[in-house]
Amino acid sequence: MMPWIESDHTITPSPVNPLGVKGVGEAGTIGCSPAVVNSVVDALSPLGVKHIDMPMTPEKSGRLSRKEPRMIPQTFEYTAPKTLQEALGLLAEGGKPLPAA
Amino acid sequence: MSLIPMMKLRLATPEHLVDLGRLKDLNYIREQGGALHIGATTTHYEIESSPLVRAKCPLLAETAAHIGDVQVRNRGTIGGSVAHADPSADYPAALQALEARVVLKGAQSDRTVPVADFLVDTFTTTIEPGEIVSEIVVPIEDPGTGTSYQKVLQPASGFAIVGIAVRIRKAGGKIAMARIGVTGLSNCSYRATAVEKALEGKTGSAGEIQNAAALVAEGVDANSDLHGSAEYRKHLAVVHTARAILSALSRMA
Repeated sequence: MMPWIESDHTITPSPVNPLGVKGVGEAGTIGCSPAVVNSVVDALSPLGVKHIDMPMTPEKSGRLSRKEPRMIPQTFEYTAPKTLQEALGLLAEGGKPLPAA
Repeated sequence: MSLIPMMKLRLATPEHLVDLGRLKDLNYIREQGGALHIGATTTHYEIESSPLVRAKCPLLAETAAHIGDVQVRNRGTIGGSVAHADPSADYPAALQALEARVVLKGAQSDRTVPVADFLVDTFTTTIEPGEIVSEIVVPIEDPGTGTSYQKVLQPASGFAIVGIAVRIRKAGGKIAMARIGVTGLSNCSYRATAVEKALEGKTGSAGEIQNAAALVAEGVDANSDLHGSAEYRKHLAVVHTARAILSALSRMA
């Protein structure tokens, strides 16, 4: 026969964070969010970014990375020539189209 | 097909991109003067499925069918692949074995270069600024020739860890001509002339093929990465050279 079970709360606040909270259940996954945020902070560290508040939204990282133009995707001009002659002209020195043959 | 990933990795940062992919002028496959002339914007799928290429240069059609996956073959072009000079690309094996020629056009220039001289190193060719690859020229295969492309692929990308293209022809029961093209093994594709010489004049017995294939990676500085060590790649090259030779011999008319 099962013995009588007494249940109660024990309260031992964690000393390592301001709230004293601890993880339960899948405690291993707790590290994931800070790891992701740290990777973004690391990627943006050349721009002087040292901290980003969660949640990590595209808007937030985009706003931070736009401080420095070299971090945003390379911009380039795009041309889709219709003929070989036009293409070769565009590729010629200086990129100026040649007069039509 | 490879430019966008290169740009994402910042390996290529063009200021002005001229998109040749839609140039209809360069999309053609023509038989002319004993050779097939293939325009640079001809897709891998067009080459793979062309009745003309299948009949006249089966090695090139077979090789095209091994490239990447369906999406890659529908968008990727022979000119783009050759100009990009990826050391793991499939085409170079066939083009080396075929002794193909690359036609380069610029606003003021128009020249033809053997593929062995055009491909210099990883992502490096003898193309000059202002030039484009406009055409690839491959010979029309003699009907008595057997050809085969044998490849070990990376499961994720479909690129060749090693790829071996073989053309072989017999006369009077002896091997009269052998051409072996190798890709994926080192920094640049090449023709395995030592194997070719070892095969010429032989009947093509299992032992002779094995001895010849063993020479394929001799003196080659093989690549080593997470897909395979240099030693393993060399081993794969030997095994697949022997397979490709056997397969090509079995396909001789």
